[in-house]
Amino acid sequence: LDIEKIIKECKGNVQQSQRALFDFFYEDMAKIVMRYCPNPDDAKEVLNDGFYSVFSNIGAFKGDSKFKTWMTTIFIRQAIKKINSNKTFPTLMEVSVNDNFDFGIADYDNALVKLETKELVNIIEGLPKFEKIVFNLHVFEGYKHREIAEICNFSEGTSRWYLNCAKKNIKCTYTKLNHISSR
Amino acid sequence: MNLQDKIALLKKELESKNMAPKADEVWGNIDRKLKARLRKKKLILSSLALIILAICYIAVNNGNPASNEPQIHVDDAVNHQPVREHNPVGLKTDQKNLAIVPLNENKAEIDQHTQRIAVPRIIRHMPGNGPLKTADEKESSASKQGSEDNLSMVLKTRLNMHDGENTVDTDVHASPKNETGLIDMLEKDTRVVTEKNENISVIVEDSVKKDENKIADKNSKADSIQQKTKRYVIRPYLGIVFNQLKPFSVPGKTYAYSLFSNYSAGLLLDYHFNPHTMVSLNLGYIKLPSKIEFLQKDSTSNEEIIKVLNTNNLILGLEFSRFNARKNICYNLGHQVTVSGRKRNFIEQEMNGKVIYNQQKQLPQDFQDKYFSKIDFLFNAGLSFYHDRSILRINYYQGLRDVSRTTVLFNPHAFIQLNYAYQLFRF
Repeated sequence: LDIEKIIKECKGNVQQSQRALFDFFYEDMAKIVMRYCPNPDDAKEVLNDGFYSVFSNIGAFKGDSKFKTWMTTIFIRQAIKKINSNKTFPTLMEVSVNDNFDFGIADYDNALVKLETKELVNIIEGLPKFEKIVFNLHVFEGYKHREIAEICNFSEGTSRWYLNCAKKNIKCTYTKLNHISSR
Repeated sequence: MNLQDKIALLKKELESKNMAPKADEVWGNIDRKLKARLRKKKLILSSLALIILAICYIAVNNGNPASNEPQIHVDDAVNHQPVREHNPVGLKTDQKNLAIVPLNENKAEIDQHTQRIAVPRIIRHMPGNGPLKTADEKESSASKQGSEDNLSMVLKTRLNMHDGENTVDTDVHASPKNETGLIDMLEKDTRVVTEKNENISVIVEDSVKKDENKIADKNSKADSIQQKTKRYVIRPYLGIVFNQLKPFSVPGKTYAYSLFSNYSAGLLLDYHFNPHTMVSLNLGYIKLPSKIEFLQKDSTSNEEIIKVLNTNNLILGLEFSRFNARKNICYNLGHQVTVSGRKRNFIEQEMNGKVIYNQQKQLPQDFQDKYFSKIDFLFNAGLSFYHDRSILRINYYQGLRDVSRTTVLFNPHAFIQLNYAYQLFRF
């Protein structure tokens, strides 16, 4: 599949090319969106808005980065927008933290490796919304705190805070489970 | 298992835990949105193109001497008001507007000695403004006119008419840069004026040798024409109507919006109390909106249905307008009643190959009773701006069916109407 050609045609609003591009990237984008919005209805809405946004703004894609990376950013932003629009979640708490602040979670890596995958999935899905977003962006997408701060529109320190809170949650769960099993 | 492998595994697990929505479901919505966006884009472009065309039309018409619009301005000798300023929309002409403009039988010549254009006989008669002007008055008129020269960009040529003892001055503004062109234009435009507007009285003497009694006869004839001036004017109109795409959610599974629409046409019967005040009776036809879409989603079959409704409306309208000729502004206030004939025009269209076109199928009766069996009252308040004889009119309509429009009209006699409408249908 000649993606370059398809992108070019999409810029000219060729419907068949739009469908081809959609089919090509749908699965990847759906996976990303599902990590942020496990609810199928929310995911559908995000995918909808995301692809519409991609086709609407495809003219702005200059080829400076990979097309998939560009698309991924759009979908992540859409997912965050969706999460933020959900009133049932608490609103963002902006925190001011020292970069060298020690959260005392040095053995988080150990917990991550030793915990069962299913347990981890449950923990991650149960995280508060911003902890979950930052954890996803940092651990799975590989974004730096500066980039996360830019996407989520908060400070780098806040990003660090949420990541460490998420790690702390994982560690605590591991400790609890370890304690239960040792008893 | 190291940390990286664990993260990869975890990522995979998170992605596959919940079922992603089906691609077709998502594409259906995106496709619809993209099509709507494309339609909107086309609508904006076509609107822009029409506006540009209309502006070009006005520009070309104003600058073309051979067009139907008179290109000369004959000043009022007394108050220096251009004749057309009194009569911005071709309304009934009162006495002040009476003017005699040169006609063509004998060619005008340039006097070799005075370098003035000597027109055989050009007499300007102002029944409401006293007798023909004398040479002294001519001088004062000329000095007044001189100050205007500095302000005006148009070429101004003085025409001196000698009639025995009296001399009449007429200032002619014209765009052609040479006098020959000016004379040609005078001939053409004079003809146009006499043919088009019965209300303007024109008296022309073919020869200098004719005596003043004849002039007096002509003047009295002009007065009698003036008295017979009609107070009624019938104006035909043809409109192009654009509807704003307006999807919106309603409770349940049904929502509706109006789409690009089509045309309106009719007759306006104007009654003029005076050249500045009139009442218009509008009898017309409007097809608006062309379509309404109902998107019904059946949860079991996942079937989407589009039903399209054509609306044909007879318009009965009454409008009061007051013109301010000096400021080139018109204020209007009116009421429109549209009698809907929409019940019989319901059709179905297919979507995604699911629904068959069915002309016979009707909307549910209660829906019809609720929305389409009533008469719509539209309140109309407007403001019109005049430039020369072209009009830009901005109207606001508000009625029971939440219709608002911006209307742009050009040319008061047969105008193009651009409507930008919102049609909201509540369920």
